[in-house]
Amino acid sequence: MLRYTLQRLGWALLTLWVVVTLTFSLMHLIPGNPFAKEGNMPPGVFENLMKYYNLDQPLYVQYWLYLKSLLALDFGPSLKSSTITVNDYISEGFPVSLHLGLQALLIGVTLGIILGVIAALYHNRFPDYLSMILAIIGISVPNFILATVFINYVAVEWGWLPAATWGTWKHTILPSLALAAMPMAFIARLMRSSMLEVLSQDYIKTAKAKGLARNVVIIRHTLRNAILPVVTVLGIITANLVTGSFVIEHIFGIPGMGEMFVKGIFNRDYPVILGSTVFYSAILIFLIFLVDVMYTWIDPRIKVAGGSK
Amino acid sequence: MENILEVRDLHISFHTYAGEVKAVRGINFEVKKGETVGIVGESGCGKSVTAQSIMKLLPQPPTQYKQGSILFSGQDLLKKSEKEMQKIRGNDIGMIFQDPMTSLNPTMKTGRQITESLIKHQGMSAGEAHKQAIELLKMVGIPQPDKRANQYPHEFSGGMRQRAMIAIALACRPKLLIADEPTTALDVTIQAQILELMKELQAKTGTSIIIITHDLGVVADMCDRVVVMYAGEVAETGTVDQIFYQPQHPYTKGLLKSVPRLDMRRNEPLAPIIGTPPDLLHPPVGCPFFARCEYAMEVCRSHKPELEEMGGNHQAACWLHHPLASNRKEGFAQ
Repeated sequence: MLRYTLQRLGWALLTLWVVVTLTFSLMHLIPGNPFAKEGNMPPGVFENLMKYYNLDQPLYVQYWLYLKSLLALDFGPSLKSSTITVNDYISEGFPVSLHLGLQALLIGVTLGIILGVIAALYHNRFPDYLSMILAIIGISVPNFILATVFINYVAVEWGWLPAATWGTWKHTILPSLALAAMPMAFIARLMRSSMLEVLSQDYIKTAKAKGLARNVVIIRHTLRNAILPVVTVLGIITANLVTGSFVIEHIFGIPGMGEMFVKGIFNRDYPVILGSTVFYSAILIFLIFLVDVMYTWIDPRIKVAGGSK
Repeated sequence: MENILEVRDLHISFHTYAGEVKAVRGINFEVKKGETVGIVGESGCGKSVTAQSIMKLLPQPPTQYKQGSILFSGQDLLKKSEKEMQKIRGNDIGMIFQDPMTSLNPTMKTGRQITESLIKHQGMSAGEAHKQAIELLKMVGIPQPDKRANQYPHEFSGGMRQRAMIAIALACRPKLLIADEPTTALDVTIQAQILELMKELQAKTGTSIIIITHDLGVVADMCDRVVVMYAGEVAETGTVDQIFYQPQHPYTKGLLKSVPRLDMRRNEPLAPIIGTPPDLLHPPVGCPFFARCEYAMEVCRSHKPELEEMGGNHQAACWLHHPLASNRKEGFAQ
């Protein structure tokens, strides 16, 4: 297991390097520069700024400098503010996005699995149709529409919850729900088809032939086998959710990471773009690793390469 | 001897989009204590449906038990609730399925899969049940049973898995064991081993066995009596000797003829039964075998033959045995 983990770590670093290199090249391929928006800046100031951020150096030097600072886990300064670094952005924004994302994940996965299981158990009957209608709404209605509907009714009309900003736990409920809709719908559909497949397996018949009650057959024999596809997508869904959603954070006025990333792109703020991409990739790679480890725990037939039992 | 199972005039239909498929159309047979009965027939003749209906494992809907009764130890299983059936399944009736590669739960340790019914039906503690599971694995001839009990099915070979399935089915010493094509998915040497094991365990426990198969070799090896099914009906039934040496139904005869023999000449063609079974969405009015029967007469098209006694509890449903068909029968008897 240790050898496997180290191997995976090696691959993860290599992947990150590719991500950094690609993002770096793409970013500099786009015409324009970070200070173009500043209006008529005296040429001297412009040159000084370029020099200060090493932007006057040849690209390979900039690339090399960036890699060096990355090794020290330093994402560099933001080009838009002389006092705030990218590390500051992440350490401020990420906890907020993480909190929101985990809450949305919990809601989405729990409801998704429950809806999927119900749909499968009542295949082609009313509860199935109801769950799948919910799932279709969840997938096809964009979350910014859901968010505005929530704000309009729950917050403004009925006044049950605060409409926006970040503070108490009450502030987190509406954005979490809006964020959770999509993963919930996705997981519900996935869980449904997976359950239906497992329910038609011979070993379910064996379990029934033992005289086990329906609930026992479902909980003990079906769920564990059916959940594998859900676990597969869980890594990607989690990475997406915890790194923040620009739209939701923007609508609710939440100071998370999603907002920072998008603003970074608009501002051509190179270190912010690179920093958030690398951060996102690192989280994704880590979560995919976790998912792989979870596989082996759920399904004994899957063994991690080079791992011993 | 007393009948452990009596199936009387059983009709089973499936409701599909295309209409009602009459999969089983009025079958009768019984299984005596300690006896092995084979149900044979080609794919789609209703033999597996019959087997699963005894356990009431077919989902309702779409399955509908239209009429008839399944008497197990004198009680009609078709009148039992799902709760009552759960007490019978795995406890009084055990079942083995066709494909051991898929009939064990891949994510549960094999030992645990055996203990489940012990805990449920015999009220054993987990510890007792685990010990008993090891005993059962030993009984079905699995070496190192204590180690094997803690392994997952994928660590077992196909033959071993079928042995484990037998251990599961026999865990609570059921009065009846239903084996639905128990050897179809196994290679020939393993087939022989599994059949041997089943015979051996039957001698030990005195359980009755129903074997569903299309392999006449298995029938000859295992069974006391045979029920030949065709298109959801019983075509012929009798002892193994009666069926193999004096088949009275053209279908049975065709089945026997179609078995390849070791003493066949190299270029001798196989003798299949030409044609396909009738569509059970629209079952034929007359004899269901009419279209494929080389002895078919005019009456067979329009009138369904009933099971007639041939002597010695040997029954066949065929017009050839009617007194008026005596000259036709001469050709058949050869």
